[in-house]
Amino acid sequence: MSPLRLPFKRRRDGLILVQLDDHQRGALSQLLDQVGTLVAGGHESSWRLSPPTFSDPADQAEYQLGMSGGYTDSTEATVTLFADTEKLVVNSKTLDAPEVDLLLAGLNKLRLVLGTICEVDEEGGISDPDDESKLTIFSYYQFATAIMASLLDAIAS
Amino acid sequence: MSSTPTLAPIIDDEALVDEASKLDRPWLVIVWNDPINLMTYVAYVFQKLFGYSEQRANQLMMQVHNDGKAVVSSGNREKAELDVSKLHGFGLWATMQQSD
Repeated sequence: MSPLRLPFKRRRDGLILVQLDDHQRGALSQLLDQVGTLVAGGHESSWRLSPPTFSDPADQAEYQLGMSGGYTDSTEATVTLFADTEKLVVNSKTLDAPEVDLLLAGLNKLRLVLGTICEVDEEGGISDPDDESKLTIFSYYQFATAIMASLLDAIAS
Repeated sequence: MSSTPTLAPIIDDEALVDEASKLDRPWLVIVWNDPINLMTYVAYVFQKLFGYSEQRANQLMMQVHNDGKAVVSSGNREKAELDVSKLHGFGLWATMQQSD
């Protein structure tokens, strides 16, 4: 029996060692690519990536009037983030601090889109567990969550 | 050239004082609870963006989790906008509003 290998491990020099296996790297890469395509195409779940800036809807409306292309900029930034995250996932052996932040932000936005599509609830489950397509998306969400949690554990260790 | 006499407006001192005091009030940056962001991640982002200690970051994260929201920073409008933008960059649900 082989010992369980954690996806990430902190080294003594502070760098994070990436121990994702080929299957994990491949699956994350595919997810980032496909979800990036969804976001670029304006999928309805993308709203979660662009929250309002102001609590007051009147302030927000005024703010949006003064902005040109805000939503488009945000979409492009997310698509670029997913592409950069994918490169890290596929190629990295170690991560420095900026790369850790980039990977965390990318994985989290991936989770935000997946979690919004399958409607993750406050208890961490999904509202409609009988919906097979949502269950499938939820399994991708759980996978991305496990990878991200492992990275956070490594940072804190 | 128009010969219409210029009528002096009646100055409403109160309105101007209200506007002036509005300018003085700081903007609050609020992070809202959501079911997707991991608690450890939220605390990490607070430490990273605002330089909070682990204890302070965890305290704020628990406030978001238990109360549904927490004020994580404050300042002038430009600073608040920048903070909200950074929090959005990390995927947190953050908004800003002027303090009462």
